[in-house]
Amino acid sequence: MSIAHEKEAKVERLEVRLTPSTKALLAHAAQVRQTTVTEFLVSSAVKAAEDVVASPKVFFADDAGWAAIQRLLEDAEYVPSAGAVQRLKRRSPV
Amino acid sequence: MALPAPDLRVSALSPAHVLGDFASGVPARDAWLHRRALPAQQSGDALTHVAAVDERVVGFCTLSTAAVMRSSLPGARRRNAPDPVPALLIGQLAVDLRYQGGGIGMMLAHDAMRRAMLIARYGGWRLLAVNPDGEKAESFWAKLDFVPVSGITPPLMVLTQAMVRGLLEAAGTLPG
Repeated sequence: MSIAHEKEAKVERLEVRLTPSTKALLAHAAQVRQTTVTEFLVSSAVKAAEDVVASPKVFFADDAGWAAIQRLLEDAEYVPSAGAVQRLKRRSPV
Repeated sequence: MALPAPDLRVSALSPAHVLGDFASGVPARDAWLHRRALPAQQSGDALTHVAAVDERVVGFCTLSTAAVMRSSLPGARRRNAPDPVPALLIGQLAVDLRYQGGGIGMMLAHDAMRRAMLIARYGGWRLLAVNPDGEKAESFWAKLDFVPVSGITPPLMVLTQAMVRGLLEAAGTLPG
């Protein structure tokens, strides 16, 4: 469990319905890891959820999105906005 | 509103940095910093730069590679357009709640743009992209000329490499 999650009190409940064989599998896996079914379930799910949140690596463009990307890539007319340049000058890491 | 501390430094995340009780207000992002940032740094999946006061981390920003693909079959494909389009993704950017509003996020975004241009010397990419997680994030990136592109899943805002170069040249911070 993450540090951020550990700090909070566990006030929420989640009920799940599952088949006897799924439950037996979870119980077995939890036993192998020397933990409870609940802890096993939550820690596995949190890790999977963090992966989903953290790492979209492929982005899918429909026809309109693809055309918009191509237009941007071919656009030689871009002039940086004064506001953006000013912000970069004010907040420089170097 | 806390202004960036005078001794604030931006550098690559290292094991010497103190993450302490860093909290940005977005639990998933904080969890990522506390649990995943160093392993991702060590494996090379995603490179994190941090803003730190002494060694204490007050903000962070990650870069990794990504791709924009067509979801439909290509018809008349343009000759010069790579498919998929290689991109660099600003995957995570967060500032500790106690330091928000002071320009540290902007400084980290600026740093990410400079890192992108350093990468461009050695490997190809066309887009610097970010997947904003709400209106506040969208307006932040729009302030740096990032363009929202509709029709992409998950949604993206992007700068082309030429745009990043133009911005840094104008700001006088293009890596030499």
